[in-house]
Amino acid sequence: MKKNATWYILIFLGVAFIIIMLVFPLAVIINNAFRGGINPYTQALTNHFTIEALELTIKATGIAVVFNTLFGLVAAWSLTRFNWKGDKFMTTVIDIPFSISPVIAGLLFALTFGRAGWLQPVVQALGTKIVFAVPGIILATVFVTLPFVARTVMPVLNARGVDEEEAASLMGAGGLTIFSKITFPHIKWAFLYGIILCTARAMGEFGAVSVISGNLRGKTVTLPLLIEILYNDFKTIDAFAVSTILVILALILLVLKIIIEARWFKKKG
Amino acid sequence: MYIEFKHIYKNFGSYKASEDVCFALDKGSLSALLGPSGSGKTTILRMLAGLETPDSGDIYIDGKRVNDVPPAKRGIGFVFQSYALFRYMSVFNNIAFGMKVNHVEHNKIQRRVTELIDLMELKGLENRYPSQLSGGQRQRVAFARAIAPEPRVLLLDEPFAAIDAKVRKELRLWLKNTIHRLGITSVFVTHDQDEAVEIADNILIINQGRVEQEGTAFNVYKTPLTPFVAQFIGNHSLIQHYGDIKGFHEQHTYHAALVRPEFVDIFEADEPIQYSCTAESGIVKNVLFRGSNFEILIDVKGNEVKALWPVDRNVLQLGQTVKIMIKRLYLLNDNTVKSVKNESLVADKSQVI
Repeated sequence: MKKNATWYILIFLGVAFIIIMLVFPLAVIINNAFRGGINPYTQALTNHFTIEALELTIKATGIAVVFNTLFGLVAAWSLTRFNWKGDKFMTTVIDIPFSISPVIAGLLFALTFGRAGWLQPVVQALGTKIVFAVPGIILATVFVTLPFVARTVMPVLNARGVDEEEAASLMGAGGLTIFSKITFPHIKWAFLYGIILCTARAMGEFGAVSVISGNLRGKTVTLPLLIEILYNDFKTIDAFAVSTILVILALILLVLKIIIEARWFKKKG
Repeated sequence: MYIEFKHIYKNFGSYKASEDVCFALDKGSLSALLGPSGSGKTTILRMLAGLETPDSGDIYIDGKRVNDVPPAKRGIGFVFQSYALFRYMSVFNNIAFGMKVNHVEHNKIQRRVTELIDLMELKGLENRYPSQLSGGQRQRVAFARAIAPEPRVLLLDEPFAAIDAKVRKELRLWLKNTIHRLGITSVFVTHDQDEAVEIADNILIINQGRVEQEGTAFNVYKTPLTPFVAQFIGNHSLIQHYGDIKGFHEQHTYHAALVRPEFVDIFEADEPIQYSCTAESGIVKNVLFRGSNFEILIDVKGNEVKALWPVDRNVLQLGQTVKIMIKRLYLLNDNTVKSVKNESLVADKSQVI
């Protein structure tokens, strides 16, 4: 391509935007985290509240990802492969977590399962607690990340058509064989990509979790919540130190995402 | 009768894909479902395979009603329009798939696939993937995969649609010979009449969800039963006032007529001809070179008539006056066709066609 003034201006704008919006903030996080040297940093990370928050984050993320992966596959399969009344409606319903504010989602759960909530008798009968407890945090995380796997797999299934599956079923292949031999190899990369997106979103979830958690430190506080608490307590170094954990996890996911994207597009081309 | 459709109806919403479809096909026959796109021919094929369920009516294969038999148990091989080869499997595994899922013995699979690879002239391509094959090779793999489990019936949906013109001609003949050699009852869908005429023993003309006419290619061509068939098969020109043409009279209810180029003789103005009194004169409006002959468009009393002219004679010029003899017309009314000969030929009892 010929490089003229427009080219330079556009590239400059793009680079400037990335530096101001992404590189600077990242530098600020690292700078603030290490402002007091290495010791306060490691102390902040080895604090038992931090460890417990990390454990809870991993737990909530893990459960949400496993659940949404299974749900996403089943939903994508049934919405693209079968014609039934209400399939369009269901496709829209799956998108609700994308369009609704996470805070409202948290509020809905708090009101539904809370003391005056409709489902409180059920929660009580089961002898468990949801609001201001770990199950509530997991529930909120699952809700917020519900669409990711389904929504990345569905376009691939739609674009691919049903010919190969029909051919296989005409030859007498069962549903499981068709899925594992014909369908899955095709959606593999989209599927992994959906899982990565889902994981990244689950780890960073703040709004919905914040409403339902009750901020019981060491019990119902995830990493993003802990960062907010520390920051509000003017423990800036600790807040930024904990932030670096999320940054590192995000970078790992980003690298995985790049690898998967590269393989996915190579397959396509 | 090996395959039978009895009063099959099928709607997709308000679209009538099949309306009272009835036909019967012999064992070992090779039939074509021929019709314009959207006429419902693929739906017929898919209902026979069990990929669609008719709203009402019965389908029989080998004397047994198969409406409630699942697709995999009908003994059908299907070649999809897009071939639908399994893109993550090698050629060998594609062909072996049907036998593998039916737990055929390993040695037998090896033998059968090797045999088919030889038959399909695919030797050396066993380990390639579909994306590494040419269109013709893919079609042969799809064909091999369909017949590998030795189905009773082979169905092909637009088998040549995705292949370039030159390879298509070779493949047609190859497919016809191979199917006859295997002796398998086959039905294919096409919108290309040349393809249907060249390959099929038996042609079913499909229009708006109905079977308009069934028969050998020659019969369908020679004796079209409906105006649709007369216009769909073969080349033709439409004549509104056929009563004006010498040798024909306007007949009640038949409002227009068709003439095929083969039914028209043209002569240069100074040429001596036998039926000079019934020949009309016309003006050359267009000359189109078609490779093996010229297609000439002639204006006869306001009607434009297509005719053929051999390449080894004087080339006709635009605006030139010629003599034209129309030997036969198909008269059309709303739902029937009547074939009439030029009266001067009937009187002389001379055989022209």
